[in-house]
Amino acid sequence: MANSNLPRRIIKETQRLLSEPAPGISASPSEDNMRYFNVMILGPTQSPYEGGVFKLELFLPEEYPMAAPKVRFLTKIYHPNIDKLGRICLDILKDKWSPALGIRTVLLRYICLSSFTLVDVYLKRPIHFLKKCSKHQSAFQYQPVHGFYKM
Amino acid sequence: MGGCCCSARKPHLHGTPVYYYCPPTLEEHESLTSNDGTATSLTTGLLVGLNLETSTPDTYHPPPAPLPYDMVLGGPASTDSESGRETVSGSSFETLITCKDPEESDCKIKANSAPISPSKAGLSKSKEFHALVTEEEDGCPICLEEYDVENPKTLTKCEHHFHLSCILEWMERSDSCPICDQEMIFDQTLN
Repeated sequence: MANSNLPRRIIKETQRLLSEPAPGISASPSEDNMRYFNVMILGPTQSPYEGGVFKLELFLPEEYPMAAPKVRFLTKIYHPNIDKLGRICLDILKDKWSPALGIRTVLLRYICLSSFTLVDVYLKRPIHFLKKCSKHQSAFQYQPVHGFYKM
Repeated sequence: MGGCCCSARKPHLHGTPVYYYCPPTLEEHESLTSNDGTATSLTTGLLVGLNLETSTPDTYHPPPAPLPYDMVLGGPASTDSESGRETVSGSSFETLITCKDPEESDCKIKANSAPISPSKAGLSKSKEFHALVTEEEDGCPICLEEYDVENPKTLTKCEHHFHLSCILEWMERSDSCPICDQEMIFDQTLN
């Protein structure tokens, strides 16, 4: 019923997501609602999240592509820009959205690369951040890369 | 030769972090192919553990396992490789590489010093938008449909193109160009 009014842009984006998957990311639409996507992201290499597997959900609102998609982490994660409920503090998902962006760009460039590597802001205090990581180890799906401590 | 490269690189990556190392395109392809089995097994094991999570709603059905990363994340460099594989035009790929090489060294410097500056973020965003246009050169960046007589191309002062209906709908929300964020001014000469 809802799927019959699906804009062609969403159909095109879905087809491309399925036929040309990006490395580290997998996304597929729900059978019940073509606007709801189940997403899985591998933790980026050379980051404290390497080896982790993170589940997310993505929803395309009625106004899409004029309004940003809604994305949320379902897997718990310790990250300065992601809260306890998995909501992501990311400007392009809020007031800086642009209709030239797409699902793939949001997931690959902004969530997978930019969000995860926001730990760069802690490079001045790498030990401090990693100590925080170890305190929340139960929230991670993996052990931090040992070599990371050499920074 | 290819096999040696793959096997040699893998232990190295596991042992010591390597920054800003981006293999050539061909090598990446080989690495991607050879790693599929291992990654699938690894991810399958992890998925079993994930099923125990209670935070996942019932509506969540895991998508297929993601492809492994076949490159070390180096910021613009990784994006380059991704764009290169997707772009049909070889010259366009070369152009992207040429433009972004200085950025890579800049990224290295910044990684070892100050946090990411606002101008850096702006540059990053701008490059990404241009990459999007490269991918969909013949279509409207907003609806991804092609231009035709009934729905012609509308040019802006910043030399980006959209359907008139698409850009007017966007301008109800914002006065900036969706691609470069500059103020939206239509090119009068073509209208």
